[in-house]
Amino acid sequence: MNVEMISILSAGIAVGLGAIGPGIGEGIAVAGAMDALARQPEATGTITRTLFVGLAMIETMAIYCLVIALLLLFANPYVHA
Amino acid sequence: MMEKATLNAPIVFHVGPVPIGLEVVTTWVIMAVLVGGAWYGSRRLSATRPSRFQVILEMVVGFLGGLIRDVMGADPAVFLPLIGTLFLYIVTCNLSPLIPGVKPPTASFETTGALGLIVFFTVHSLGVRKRGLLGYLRTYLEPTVVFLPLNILGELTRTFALMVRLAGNIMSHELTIAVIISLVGLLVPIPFMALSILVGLVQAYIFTILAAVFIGGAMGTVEKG
Amino acid sequence: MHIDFWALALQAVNFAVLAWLLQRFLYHPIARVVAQRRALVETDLEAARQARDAAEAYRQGYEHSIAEIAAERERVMADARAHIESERRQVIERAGTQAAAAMAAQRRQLDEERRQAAVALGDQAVDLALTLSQRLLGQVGGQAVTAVLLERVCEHLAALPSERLRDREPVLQVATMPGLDPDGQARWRARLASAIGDAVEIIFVTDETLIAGAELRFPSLIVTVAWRETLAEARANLMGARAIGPGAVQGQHQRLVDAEALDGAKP
Repeated sequence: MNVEMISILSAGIAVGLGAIGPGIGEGIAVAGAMDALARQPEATGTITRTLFVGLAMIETMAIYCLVIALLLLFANPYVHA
Repeated sequence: MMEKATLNAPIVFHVGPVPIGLEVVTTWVIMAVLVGGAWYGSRRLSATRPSRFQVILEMVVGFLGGLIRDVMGADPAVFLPLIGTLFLYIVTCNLSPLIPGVKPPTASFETTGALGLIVFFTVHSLGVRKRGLLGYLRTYLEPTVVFLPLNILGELTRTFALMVRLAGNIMSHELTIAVIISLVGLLVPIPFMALSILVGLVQAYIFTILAAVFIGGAMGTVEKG
Repeated sequence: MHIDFWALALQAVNFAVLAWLLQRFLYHPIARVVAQRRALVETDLEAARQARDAAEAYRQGYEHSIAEIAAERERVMADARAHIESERRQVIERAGTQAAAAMAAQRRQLDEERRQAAVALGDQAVDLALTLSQRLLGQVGGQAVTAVLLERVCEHLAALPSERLRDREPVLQVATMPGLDPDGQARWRARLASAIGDAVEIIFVTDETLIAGAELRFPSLIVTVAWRETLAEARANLMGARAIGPGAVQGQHQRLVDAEALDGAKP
């Protein structure tokens, strides 16, 4: 098992595991937003905007994992072609 | 074994010592399109009998102005050049891969980094201008002195996150579509491309909103994001 | 992977240029035209507001004039009503006056008729009395009645102061009804001569108008005892009587019959 293989595996594990937390978080956030929308349909604009911002924040965690994976795949400092 | 893969955009040509990357050239083209469209639309503006294109432009500008007013609670005319241009530029970039062969500039970290830095400096210069240097620096000590490193780290990471979020989303979608095309070339990538439109719009909106929130927070008109 | 700082700087510059260009070609013109349109709309709104105000003022003026017309109509109607009322009152008053006058006239006529009826009744009564007395005289016998009456005349004459009669009257006319026969005349001539003196020339006449009675006619004095006088008196009383009841008639009748009690000398 060389460095390339370990990097590829690590990239997959990073994205796979890193997607779990944000997935749960986004689910909770959307559920909360739906609840709020059902309670106050007139506040749709504010709720939607806040939801998007919050989702973006949560998604940032997944994006970090993705960046790590991309770095491992395309910019691995330990792989010298 | 395999060819060296890279995330960097290929260099198209050099102007003296300056390498001109592909994303810069694409940006020029997009700039030309945007300014050309704006020039075409605003050639003969009429207050009473607007042309169809003028109506579209007014709707876009009105939407951006409303966004600025809602999120920042500030005068739209002051921030339209920054926030409005951010949105228009990012949207155009995110939707540009719909044209075959075009690589979106926002998929590169250089472009989003430039946008993030512009937002970063705008936030801090505006904060200093609104509260004074000492008053602005004092906000890093809130609620207590202990939070100083956390505040500084938060300022840096949220700009970094802004940059990485946009570039990572767009780039990952580009890669996803590229991988799918390499596996199944026909019809299957189309839903993913449609999803990329949604992702492009949403990411542009999020970038704009976050920039507005950051700037508004620095000015004290909204809670710091 | 490395960060291409040239590309970063170029993109930043690109963005700044793009922002400036869009401000120059998009935001500024759009903002200007929007402001222009807003001013236009404001002007239109102002004009509309003014037009509405003018219409409102016109409407108020119209309502005011309508109210004035209504008040004028009310006033005219009230005038007409008052006029009609006064005229009606006048008509009623006039009718009342006329009715009162007519009633008064009727009453007067009625009174007149009643009076005439009374007069006629009185006349009839007097006529009846005359007829009755004449018939009575016829039955009783004229000479006796005349004698009785002359007796009473002489009593009156005797009651008078004697110096007034004796030798002062040259002639005496003795009127009787019924007329005296020659025996009677001679007897009475003797009695009268004893009463008033021999120098007096005594003439006997029969006077129908006395009805029944005797009258001594001196040139300056007349002494009468006659039913004529009594009847005339009764007539006068009847004329004066407003109400003609059975009792009154009865009373008159009694007085008529009791004629001797009511006679008297008439100076």
